[in-house]
Amino acid sequence: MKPPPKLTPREQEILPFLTSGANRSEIANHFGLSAETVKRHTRNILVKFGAKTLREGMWDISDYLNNYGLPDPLYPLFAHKVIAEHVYDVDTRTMTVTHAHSFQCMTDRYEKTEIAVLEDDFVVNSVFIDGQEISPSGDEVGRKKYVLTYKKAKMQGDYFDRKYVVNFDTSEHLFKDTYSSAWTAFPAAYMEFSIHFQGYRVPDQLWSEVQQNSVKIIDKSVEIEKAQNFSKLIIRDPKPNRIYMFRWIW
Amino acid sequence: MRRPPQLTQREGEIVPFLASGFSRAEIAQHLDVSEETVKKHTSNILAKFDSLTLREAFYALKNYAEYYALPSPAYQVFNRALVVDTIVDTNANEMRVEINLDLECIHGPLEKLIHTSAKGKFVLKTICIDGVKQQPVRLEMGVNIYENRYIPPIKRGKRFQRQTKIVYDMLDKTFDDHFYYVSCIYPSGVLEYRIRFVGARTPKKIGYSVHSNTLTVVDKSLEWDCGTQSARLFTRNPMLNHYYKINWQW
Repeated sequence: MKPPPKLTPREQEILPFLTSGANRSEIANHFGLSAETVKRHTRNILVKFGAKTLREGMWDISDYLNNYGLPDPLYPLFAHKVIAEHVYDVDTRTMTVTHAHSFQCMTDRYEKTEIAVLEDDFVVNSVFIDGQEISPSGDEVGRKKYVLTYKKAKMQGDYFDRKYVVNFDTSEHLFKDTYSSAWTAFPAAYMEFSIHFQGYRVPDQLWSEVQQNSVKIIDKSVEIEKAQNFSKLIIRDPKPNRIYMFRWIW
Repeated sequence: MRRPPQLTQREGEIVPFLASGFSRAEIAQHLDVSEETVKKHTSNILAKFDSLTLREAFYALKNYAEYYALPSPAYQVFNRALVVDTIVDTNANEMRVEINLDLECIHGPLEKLIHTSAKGKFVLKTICIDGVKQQPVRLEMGVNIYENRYIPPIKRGKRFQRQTKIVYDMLDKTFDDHFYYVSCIYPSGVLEYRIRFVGARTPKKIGYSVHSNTLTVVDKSLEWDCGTQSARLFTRNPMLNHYYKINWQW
């Protein structure tokens, strides 16, 4: 996904009409503008989306509307880059999950950041956001939430980084077949997801999978690097509702 | 979401191209047919989507391409209606959930369908799909996945029902604040989620919220009726990756 363009208020008002199939005169009627003005606005919108025709820009416009076009933006952030590193250490019986995000703030104010951690097989030892240890603040459909309130709220258009580290205790599930997963909770442009096995034993088999709504799907855009104790996925257009996972067998 | 029209195999191949803004010449080149053929296919597709222009059909095409152009078992069906009846029985210390699905097979043959159930505070006692007791096939992403098989497989175009009955044990958590959520894992027409409280004590407050990826979403299409002992949530266009949640406080 491309970073969303900055639109003027009038352009934002016109946008939903463009994908709903209304023609220029209908839009003009609705806003009490001339058709020429609507034409001008439409052209400006298309330039901002980097498209020549409406048909070409339709996909990006509809993504924009789905993600940011609501009065309360569904996704207050856009992630330019997500680097997820999972290190499974057999010797110390731990797994360290490090996520580094480069965000851009899309909403007026962004006051607190939250992450959701799954507790399936492995037990969560500690969670750090931006170097600060955080305790869980609520259960949410099979996940635990960790919230950090920023001292100074992020304002619209701000670029900022967030890094979180989750330490898992794997001793109970040592050498049982399991999986590790990563997903982006926000629209993102680029994601790197890698897993590394350390210690005296490496898994027999290691492979990757993409899921959407608990269903395995085929995603041909994912680039895969593979070795016996290391694997890496490069995802150029990660979707917020897709989960990327590594599975392994000991 | 509207029920998807029945497309021929070739039409199904063309839809993703149309929805992502490819020109007729590009599609023709990619599928190795003439432009005239693509034109004919396109006009047939538009007729099936009740649209005069591509621009008008864009949203429907995009939905179709996202949900049905993928070879995933969950999207082999369209769910006309999802009706969930939840009874919280404080006398018996249990929560009984009945989920009725009115399904139509749109890509056959369909061999199996999944049901997912998240790990929550309450303990799952039994789960029956169409009267048969189920065991989870796997636990993934904090969600237990159940599977029922259809022998013989269901043919394309056939309508069928599925009923899932779940009993949760509330144990000592009876009068803790709690929630239950419903999410669509199949593209669905309408969602109706009813909750009823039976027993000596009624909750102080019943509320609802909609979540997407642990973010709270504003969904204006929802209808919400709430009494002291019951509540009803209804939407005509349930989203696939949204959680519809009813929560209560004692």
